[in-house]
Parts: sequence; structure tokens; C-alpha cells
Amino acid sequence: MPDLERLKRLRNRTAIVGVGASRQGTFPDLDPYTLAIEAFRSALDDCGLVRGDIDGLIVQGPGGVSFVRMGEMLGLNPVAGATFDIGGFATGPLIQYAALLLDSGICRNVALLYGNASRTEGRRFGGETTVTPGREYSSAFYYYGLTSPGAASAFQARLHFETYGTTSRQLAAVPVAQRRHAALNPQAIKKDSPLTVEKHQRSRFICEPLRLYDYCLINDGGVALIMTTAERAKDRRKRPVYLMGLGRHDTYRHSSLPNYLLWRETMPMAAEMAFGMAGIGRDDVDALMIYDSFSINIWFALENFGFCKPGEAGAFTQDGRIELGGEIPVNTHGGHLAESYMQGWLHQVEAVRQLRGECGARQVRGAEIVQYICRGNVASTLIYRN
Amino acid sequence: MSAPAKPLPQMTPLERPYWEYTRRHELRLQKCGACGALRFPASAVCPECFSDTAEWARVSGRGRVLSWVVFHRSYFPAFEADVPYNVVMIALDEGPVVISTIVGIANEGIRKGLRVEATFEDVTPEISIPRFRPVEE
Repeated sequence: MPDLERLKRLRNRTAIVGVGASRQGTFPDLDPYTLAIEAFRSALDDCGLVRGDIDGLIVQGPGGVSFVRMGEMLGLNPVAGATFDIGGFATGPLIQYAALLLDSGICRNVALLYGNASRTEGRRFGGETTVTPGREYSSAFYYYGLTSPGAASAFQARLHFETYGTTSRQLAAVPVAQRRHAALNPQAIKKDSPLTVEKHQRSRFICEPLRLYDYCLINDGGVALIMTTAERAKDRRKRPVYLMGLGRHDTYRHSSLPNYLLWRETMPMAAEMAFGMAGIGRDDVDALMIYDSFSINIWFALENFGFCKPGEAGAFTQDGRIELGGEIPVNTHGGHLAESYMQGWLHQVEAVRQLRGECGARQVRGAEIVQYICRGNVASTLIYRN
Repeated sequence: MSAPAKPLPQMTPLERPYWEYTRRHELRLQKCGACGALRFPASAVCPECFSDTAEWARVSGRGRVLSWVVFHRSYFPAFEADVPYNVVMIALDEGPVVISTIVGIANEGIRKGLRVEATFEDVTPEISIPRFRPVEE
């Protein structure tokens, strides 16, 4: 069990002060470094720092994007750099690591740069191209044709349907909601492609029972965040967004198989850690940013973090409850299903923009607290406040 | 032109006994010498009690479907012709959950709780892969 009393000292001690996004889409002439640096320029401008102020360099991206190579390109010799080889699971943990680098005094200003050229590189997130065991599924069962994180989620979706009587039609409410949100987001790739439940139900299976629209986009782009300490944050250009709480709990047991326990034993512990550290409850959260490689992720995040009971997410996500204006808006930017597949990094950008009140037509009125949740064998969460 | 070869299991020192038994059409899992727990996949120590003594114990090969998926897209050229193909999670009667495929029944006939037993496909002279087929209750 985490030492919560000690962890509470980290509450509101660090902040995101700058965010940036590159163009999002398909860019055959660009590589992940170029896209990340485009975002970095924008994030520096957002907070009023210059390249030389950065003394912590965290870099992430599919396909082995290197923090050392990034630093070489940027001409930086920071105090510390890092990448975590756990794919999209890394986003929350890397932000947590940045907070520790800052609060400990090791670094003053940490840049977190993300570059992804998966569309251009033809990455399919399946086949014999992958990955660390336990990241989302193992390479242990290729000989049965089992591959892809989508298959692991499909196993879990089936378990949910069979155990609780939920349906693919209910699940459609998730991508439908997120397409509606994307329509209000100029940055969203699918901003002009509305979705209906019927269209979802007619779409082809990829790995049954999951359909095309249950899957995230695969595209190119870059994202950058700049974090600093709470004291220094006050001197930056815009209103700081403070890291109020953080949580993590890993699942290594049975991790060669898709998690048939639906992370019921571990994700709630990450939730308790973050709520305990932040000193808030679920009712205080104004919007959720949930890692959505697949629509079903939303259900597991809502259930295992206590926003609804286990088995009830099918009903809970109906009737606009997770849409703007609803009880708890989820992925107001459109998420991976409709905005862009930046592996959770644009979820942080949206959290910051919501808490700054910069979201225009998709602004959650009076947003004060936004929470990020990533389900999985490395479950993580972040609670932000303005 | 013949179809490209399907991926074969990785023959690590830990996994080798499993595959030596399946070659003889026997399904055996590691059984802890201290607490008796069965484990899958193979492990150097017992995840329950940390003991490093174990034997390869024969299991019934019978179990029930816990969950399943059907691939409508092929990520491997070698599986292109098999689409749509199933992959299932089976809870063995002895407890451990394993991954396999169901043979002898259409994908549409797969159900949670379906009673199945192991059968072995000789894919090379050295390797036989366990699959499962429906059986009477």
C-alpha cells in the first residue's frame, strides 16, 4: 500500500504550464521527431519558456522514439531524460515521474515530448512486430493467431457482455458520444464524420465482438507538455494546471493472457490512491479523460474507478450521461476514437485546456477538476485542478 | 504458391517440457512441489508460494470456454486464409486458464461455458499444438 500521508505532500506541488500539439493526420514526409518538435515549439510559446530552460527531457512514441536522439536534435544536455517501454500505458507514469523529478529538485522544467508517425510507418498494432509481454497482451500465443491489443479488449468485451448481459449496441454510445465531442474540436481528425448507433452496428468486425468504430484511429502527430514546480508555475504565461493527485497500480499476475479478471483487483487501488492523495471524491470530478484505444476501455475505467458499479457501465453510458452537458463528460476532445491517436497525450492537453477555460463550444462550464484514467496491466490516473 | 508458414511456439528452456509433452499428445502443466498449485504459462517459481520445486503434472485437458474472439482481420499473412478464425480462453477443470482455438464447430456455435477437451494438431514433426473440441457434458 502506498504511504498516503507522505504522498499527500506531493498534492498541488507541480503543474503543467505549457501544452502544444502539432498538426494531426497523415504526413508522409514527416517523422516522429519532427512532429514532436513542432508540438514542443508550440508548448514553449504557450508558457513563455525557451529551449534552454528545459532540464528534464521525457520522450515517448511508438516505434522506439529515443530521448537521447531527441536531445541530440534539440541540442540539449538535460539533467535527466527518460522513456518507458510500455507503449500507451506510459503516459500517466511518465507525468508522475516528471512530478517526482520536479518536486525532488532534480529538475526545474521538464518537457514531455511525444511523436507518433504510425500511419505513415504503416504500424498495425498486431502481428509479429510487437512487444513487451504484459504490455497489453503477450506475444506468447502467436501460433494461435492471437495478436493485437484489440483482441485482448475483445476478450474482455465478450466477458462483459456474457457476464452482465450488456451489448455491442450499448457500447456504441461511447464512440457516438466521442464523435459528437470531436465535431466541436477543430483539431479532431473526425470532426466532420458523425456516427450513429446504427452505423456502428452495421460496421464490420475487426476482432469480434469489437467493430471498426470500437477501435481507435491510427494517425501521425506530436504532443508536448511542459511541467514545473508550483512556485515557478506562477511566473508562466497562463494559468497553471496543478497535479492534485496521482495513482497507479499494476497487474503482472496472469499478464500473458488478456486480463479475464477485468482488472477488478487492481484498478480500484489506483483510484483510491489518487482520490486519497487529492483529498476529493468522484463527485468533485467535472470531466474524465479516459485512455480509449478501444471503446470498452471507457466501461472498465468508469466501473473500476467507481463512477458506476461493476457491470453497470452499459446502462450508465446511455442517454448522454458521458456527453457534454451530461453527468460526467468523457473525452470532450473526441479521444483516440475521434480526435487523434496520441496515446493519451492529447488527453492531457484537453484536461489543461478545459481547466484554463479554452475549449470554446466544448467547454465544460465551471470545470475545476479533471481526471485522467488509463486502464490496463499498468493502470494509472492523474487528477488535475486549476 | 504455398501459404507462408504460421508462427511456431518459442522453445525457451522453461517452455520446452510443455512442448515435449504435447508432442506426445499429453497436456501437462507445472505443479508446485510445495503447495500443489498448477501454473500456466511456465514459470521458474510458484507464483503462489515462491517454491522452486515443480513437476509437470498431466491434466485432464477438459474445461469450459471462458471467453472468445473471432478475428475478422488477419495480422499475419499465414492466417489470411483462416479468417474469420476463433481464439478462445478456456478454464481447465483443474483451474488454470489457457489460450487455444476451438475446432470441430462453427464460430457461431461457440458459447461461454461450452464443454471442451484438448486435441492435438501435429504442425511439424517436432511440434504438436493443443486445440480444443466440444464434448458432451
